[in-house]
Amino acid sequence: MNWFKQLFSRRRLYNDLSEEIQAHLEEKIEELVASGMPRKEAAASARREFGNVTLVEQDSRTVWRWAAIEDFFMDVRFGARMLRKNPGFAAVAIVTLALGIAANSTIFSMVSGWMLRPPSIKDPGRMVMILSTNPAKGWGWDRNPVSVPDFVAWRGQNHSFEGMAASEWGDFALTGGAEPERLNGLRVSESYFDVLGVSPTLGRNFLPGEGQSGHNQVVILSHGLWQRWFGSDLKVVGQAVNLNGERCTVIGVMASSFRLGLYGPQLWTPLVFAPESVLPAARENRSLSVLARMKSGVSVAAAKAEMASLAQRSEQTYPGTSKGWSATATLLQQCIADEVRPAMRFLMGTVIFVLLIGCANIANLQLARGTDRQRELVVRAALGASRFRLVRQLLVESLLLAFAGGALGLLLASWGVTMLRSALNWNDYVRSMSREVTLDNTVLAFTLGISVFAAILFGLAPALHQTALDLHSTFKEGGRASSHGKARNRTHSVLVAAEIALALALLTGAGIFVQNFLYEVYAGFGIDPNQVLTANISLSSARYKEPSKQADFFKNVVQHLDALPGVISAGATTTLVPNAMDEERVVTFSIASQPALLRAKRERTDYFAISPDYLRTLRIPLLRGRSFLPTDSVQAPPVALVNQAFVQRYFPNEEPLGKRVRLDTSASDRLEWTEIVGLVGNVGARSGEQKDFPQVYEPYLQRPSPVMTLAVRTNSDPAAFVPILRRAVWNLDGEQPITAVQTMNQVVTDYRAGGVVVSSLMGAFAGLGMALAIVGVFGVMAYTVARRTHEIGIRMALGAQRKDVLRMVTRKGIVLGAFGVGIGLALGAPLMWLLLPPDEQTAIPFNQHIAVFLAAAFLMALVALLASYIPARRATKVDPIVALRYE
Amino acid sequence: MVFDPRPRETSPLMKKSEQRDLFPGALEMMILRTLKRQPLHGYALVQHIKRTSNDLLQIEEGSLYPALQRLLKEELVKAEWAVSATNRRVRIYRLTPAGARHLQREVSRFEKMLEGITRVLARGES
Repeated sequence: MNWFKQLFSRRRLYNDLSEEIQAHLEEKIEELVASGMPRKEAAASARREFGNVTLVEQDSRTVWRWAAIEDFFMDVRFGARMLRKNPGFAAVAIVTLALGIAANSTIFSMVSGWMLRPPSIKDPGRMVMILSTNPAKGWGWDRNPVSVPDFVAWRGQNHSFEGMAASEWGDFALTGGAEPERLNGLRVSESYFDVLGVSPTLGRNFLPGEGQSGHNQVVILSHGLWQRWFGSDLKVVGQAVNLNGERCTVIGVMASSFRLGLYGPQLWTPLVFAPESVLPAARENRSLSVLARMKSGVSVAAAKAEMASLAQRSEQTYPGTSKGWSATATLLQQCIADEVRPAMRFLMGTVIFVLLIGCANIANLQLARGTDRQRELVVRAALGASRFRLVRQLLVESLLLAFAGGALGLLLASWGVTMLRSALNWNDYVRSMSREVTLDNTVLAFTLGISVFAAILFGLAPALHQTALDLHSTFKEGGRASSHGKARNRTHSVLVAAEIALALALLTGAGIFVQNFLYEVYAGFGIDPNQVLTANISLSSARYKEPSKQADFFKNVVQHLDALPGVISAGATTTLVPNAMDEERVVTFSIASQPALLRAKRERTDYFAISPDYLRTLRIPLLRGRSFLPTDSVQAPPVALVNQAFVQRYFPNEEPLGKRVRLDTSASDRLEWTEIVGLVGNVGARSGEQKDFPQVYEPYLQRPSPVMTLAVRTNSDPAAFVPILRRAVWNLDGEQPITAVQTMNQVVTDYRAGGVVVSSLMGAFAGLGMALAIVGVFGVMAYTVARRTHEIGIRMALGAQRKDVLRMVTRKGIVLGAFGVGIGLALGAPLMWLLLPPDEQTAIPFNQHIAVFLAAAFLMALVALLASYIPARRATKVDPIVALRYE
Repeated sequence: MVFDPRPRETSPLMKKSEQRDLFPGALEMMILRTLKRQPLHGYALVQHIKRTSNDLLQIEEGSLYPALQRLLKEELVKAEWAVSATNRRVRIYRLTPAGARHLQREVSRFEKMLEGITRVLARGES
């Protein structure tokens, strides 16, 4: 492109041109003089024949101009000058925009980090997740892991994929350091990293054969674990570590940049399929996360179709375990994004509303300012500027404002992101997620885009409005044009009504969210969390393979703790407080008196295996019957407790005690039935439809588990009890890691932390939106009243009463307020309600939200009333003489 | 006084090739043709065109310059400062190979157009 060169050589071009034209004229004159014409006459004649020298020169120059760009820069210079002349307006507009844009960019940094950033693997666009689906299970979240037999079968039968790999989370006790540590690791099939297309930075991938029992004592470390445990030792490969009581050889270290989902493991070991896990009956046990790389040229739709047909084959061959189950393939990145999509949609909707309100404010300001600028625009139009040219000029000014606002907004957003990251800090998972929240290039591009969007939003209407000029009447009125007053007032009114509607929607959304949250907080968890210390124990060591060993260990620990001074009671449970994340603690079950069903068709319940004193420790009320006793052991007949919700759902008008149930805690159906011996209160942090979810307890002595949470109620500060608890455990097994040592209050706080963060964000955004709306409505009203001062003066001079004037002026505010609230209630608030994540929508019945709708509507109506009343009252205090003089 | 509320603005693109009494591009074509014979400076060029057309074509001398700038920009001609036979500092324009090709194309297009017009006019007479 030579325009660039031209941009710099242009001065020379222009000089050449002038010189050339001058030379032309001289030559002509001389020729004419030579032919006998007097010099003066010759000069005139030469010029006549040449034409308009200036115009020719200008036309010639125009050829070299890059017109659009240069005019744009001219507009920019002019716009900047106009804004400098009006610093008050510019400051208000820029700050308003900066707030709106900062809110948007901050929230978008989460969208970018969690939904848009592809996993750091080879060709992520071809990586899909294979998921089991069953519409009858789950609550709208139909994504289930895959069973081992299905994985093995599908891996062998498919034609769509280059490779298929499975993984499963596991607990690992890492010993040999100062204290035993528990780590989250991923057991992966041999080809896992090959399918992903990644290799360790140090060492090698797993080799074929290392997924066989006996050959699996190898481990790949995460970058973080390598730094922490091995001090970034470059010679780590080949060294041994103690994992779950076995010696494992370190074969590799993954790069720090390797990232698959929102939460990464600390180590990887080979996944070994035990002989019983590949039996057909094991199809019931869906535990594998399966990834597959599509062959090039295979579409996701084709992969989906093939998975569905493969799953159908499983379903037909093994109806007992697979009836109703299908399978699908979903792009990995989409799977990751879907986890946060509802929350992100809601938050983005909220901040966009804030920005819209801000834009309405600035549009109003622009309109008001337009009156002052009308004279300038009229003169320019009269001199031949086209309307397009004027609109462009005004839009460029808006763009300047928007970019200034965007720049300041970015500054605020960088602070917002820091705040956000420090707030997302209540567990490992969220901490890992928070690390992805940065102001990356996507966020920068988004900020730029949303700035332009805002500029068009708040700039276009006023620009079109101001340039619809009637030069004739404007000139006649000496520039004090009010011929468009009506149209302008209408635009003002529309904007004000829109602001009220938007703010109302914001308030409603925030209100519903906070209402749900408070509802949850007040509902409690059905427990008494004060003065309770909890700790997780995962018996991952090979020493505890036998279930009876697991039961013995926990029995000993609980007895030990119970005997300590200062302990009121001690207990153990497989699940502390069920929340929506704890899907693996949900089991299917049958009731003895009801017809037998295939497993796939059975009902589901929360499941707990607990020690006898657990209920007493957490003060979960025993409503009827008896609690578990130390005598409820393997030798005794099996017993269970159920909660109120269970009885309401399955024994509505019957005596539950003495009924028999059978819980599916293992792959094959149990032979014996379990008798219900007691009825307890509901517990849990679930909300919505799952609020009253059935729950069943069994004694852990009868149903041992390797993973349990200890709970100790103390008679003093439970936090001071931490070292005592550790010692009690380590007295029994010095290599046993203890994790998540927290007071129960801390556990409860962490459960609520997400709600607190989102509620605070919502509160802040709704507050900001409302503040902007108040400023906007008040500003327009005050401006309208000020413009009517002259008229009000005349009215009062002619004998109008103050209250008449007051009524006249306030009426407009009330009408606008009513319109805004009406639109907000009809459109905005329901829209916000739809944006709410599904579990927030269902947390409380819709009719309980009506109160929030009404309160928000009342508040906004009040705002509109006050915003018009205050300027109106001020107007009536004006001395008519002053008002009449008012220009 | 009454203003048209929407002032016209002729697009600069239109203005460029607009040449009263001549069809768009005609002036450029004549310039290229003249320069093909021999390199000339602006004044000589305009005199030559006027003379050869027997003053039938009423062109303003100045209108030559925007056209020359366009040709320069499109690199169909190039210009150099030199000293003329009459001992003046002049800017000599000369055809580039691209200009020669362009001229050829334009002339053949013009001839086709002329042929078409002539036929229509001839048919109209009979």
